[in-house]
Amino acid sequence: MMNREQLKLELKQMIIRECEKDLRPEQIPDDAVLIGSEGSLALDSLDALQIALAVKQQYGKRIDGNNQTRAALTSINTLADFILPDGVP
Amino acid sequence: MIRAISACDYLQPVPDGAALPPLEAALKDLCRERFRRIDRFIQLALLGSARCVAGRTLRPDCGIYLGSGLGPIGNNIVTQQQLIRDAEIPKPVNFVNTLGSSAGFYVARNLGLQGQNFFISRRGASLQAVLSAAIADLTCGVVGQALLGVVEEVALPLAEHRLRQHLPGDLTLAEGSHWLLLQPGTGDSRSLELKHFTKFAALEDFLKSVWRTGDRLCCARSMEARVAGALRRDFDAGARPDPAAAFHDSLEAAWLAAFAASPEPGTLFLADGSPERGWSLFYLGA
Amino acid sequence: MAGAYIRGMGLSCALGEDAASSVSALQRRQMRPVALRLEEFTEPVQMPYYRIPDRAELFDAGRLARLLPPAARAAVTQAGLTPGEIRRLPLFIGSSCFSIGVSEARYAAALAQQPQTAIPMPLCGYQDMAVVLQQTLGCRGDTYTYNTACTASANALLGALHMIELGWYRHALVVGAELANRTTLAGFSGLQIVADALRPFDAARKGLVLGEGIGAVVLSAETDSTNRLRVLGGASNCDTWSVTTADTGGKSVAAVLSQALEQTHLQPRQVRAIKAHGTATPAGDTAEALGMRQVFAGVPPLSVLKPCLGHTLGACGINELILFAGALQRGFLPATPGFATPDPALGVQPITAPEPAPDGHYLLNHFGFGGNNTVLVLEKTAP
Repeated sequence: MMNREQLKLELKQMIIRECEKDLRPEQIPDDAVLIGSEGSLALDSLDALQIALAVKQQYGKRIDGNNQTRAALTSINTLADFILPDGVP
Repeated sequence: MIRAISACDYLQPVPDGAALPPLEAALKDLCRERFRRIDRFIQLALLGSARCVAGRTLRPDCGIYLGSGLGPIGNNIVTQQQLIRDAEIPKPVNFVNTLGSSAGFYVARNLGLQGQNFFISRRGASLQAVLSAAIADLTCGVVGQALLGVVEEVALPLAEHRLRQHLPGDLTLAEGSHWLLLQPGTGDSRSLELKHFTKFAALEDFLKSVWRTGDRLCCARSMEARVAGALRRDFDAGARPDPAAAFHDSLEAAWLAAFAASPEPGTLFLADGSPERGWSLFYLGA
Repeated sequence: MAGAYIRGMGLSCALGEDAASSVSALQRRQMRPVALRLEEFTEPVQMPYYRIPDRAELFDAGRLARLLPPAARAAVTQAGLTPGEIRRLPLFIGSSCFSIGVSEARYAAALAQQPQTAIPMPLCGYQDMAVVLQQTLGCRGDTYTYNTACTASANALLGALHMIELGWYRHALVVGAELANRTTLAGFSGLQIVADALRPFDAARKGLVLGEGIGAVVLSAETDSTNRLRVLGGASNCDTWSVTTADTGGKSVAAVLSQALEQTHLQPRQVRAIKAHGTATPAGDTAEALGMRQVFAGVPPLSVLKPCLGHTLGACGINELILFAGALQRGFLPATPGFATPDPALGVQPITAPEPAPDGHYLLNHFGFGGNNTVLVLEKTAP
């Protein structure tokens, strides 16, 4: 089973790829705000959709318009929590 | 009088076995920001439009008229492969860029424009369609300036791209981004005019009355070969690019934009039409 | 500004297979989306959809060639054009799907037969609608195919209008066409803006519902004795705020509304009513409402047709023009059945019961991806 640190690195690589950001994974802190102009990555709603679809296709987890799943896109940490089943370190 | 105050001609043959030349470095110098999520069609449109404008301050009522026979074909291919071959929901960025208005959006954003922004196609005669629309709007005063571009992209592999267009296997394909900046006024830049004729004889008579040595004539591919042949016989049809040298769907645009950008003397005429459509003559003066 | 007259209309949409019955169904506030389920994906795509009530399978690749000509022929017939006028007739087409449904079917068939040689995007499809119409109607004039997302057919109409005003053409056939295809349905599902019902300007609005429709209008420089509808003009601009989301401040909507009024020498108070775009997406309706409020001290009565028609994307300009013009001819402003609860953040609400439609000027709003905004001005006069 995948551990949390591995997953977070994968997620960072995915975001860089899907959103064509000029960054290296280590430049994205785990708690950085992902979406919105005030966030350090300044991703927009189209980026959010792009990430949501990639998460669904790669991890089978659905992020849609409802607030609970949408909150998963807050940061790398929240995204990892959303994808990993409870209890995975 | 409408004048072509600037032009850019980018025509790049893509030899068999070669990769598409990367455009990122050129765009870095030409764009106000680093655009993400743009496909090759958008890159070509940004490149040609920015080179044509060349740092000029555009009028706020400048309209964009983008023409293309094939449009963002590379992005459309990727989207269709995701959907049909892979049975997956198309990626949002790919889907949005299939919708046609994306290239114009990025051109407008890069140049700070907020006016009219159209994408018009007429397959191999897309140049004539956007020229007509831009000249109409400039004449009506709907826009005070028109940034007109014709963009054709090549999608690899070349063999498939030829089959898609029913082209012979030995034809060299090219990418192109051909632009004119048009505005009403006087001055020493080239004039652009459009005349309509109901009868072909009237077009011939008009050409005879204005033709001077050194002028050039291009017969649109959409013209019937017999009629085009007759016109070429009567008028010197020099310097028409050899279609065998490099082809894309809107090659007439390459010729027009190259002539507009050159200091060569004379007038370039582009003739098009049929007995039912009527006849039109676009001409770019000295 | 001379404008151009609407001489003939043809329509095929979820409301009916001709213009007259569609307007009647609009008057009855018919809303009949079907439940759609695309099974081929890991998680099936499900959404309501406003389809044309022909009996064919929805993705039948032959529908384009079958459904496109009748609507166009109806418009040409009603306009009473002579055979010579039909032969010279220029075509202005607006769509966002073109022949993509046919292209999908051919690629899928090729993949099933011989995956190694299957070529994606086997059609370069922008011209295909024009070719079908030319072959079936016998018109041989110039063609202009507009590809500007949801404003495409409204922009096609503006193009035709200006060329008619210049005297380049006496008549023009303007067509908006959108048919079901997998790219659009799956693509929109990925954008997460499709809702279970279309509730324009409603506090509970959650998004749009897609639909298909083919509309055709003959625009002419001259009128005849029965003609009461004239497209006076309009305006189009581009908001470069975001490629997918309107600037919710409404600035570019206000700008295009003001330009349309200026072009047609009208004051805001002269506008009798507005056919709103009303996609019922949270951001789209906010931008439209705030934009209208910046131009109008008191926003005129609003009608939204999408709860009855669905969002027909590139074709919505012509489809909604035909429905709205048809309603004006019958003397009513259409109600907006999907609306129930006002949104205090918008400060506008569509009419919930039909109202009389007097002579005068009407605006039609259209907004699309790529920041494209287009407003048309329609004039109804006594016969």
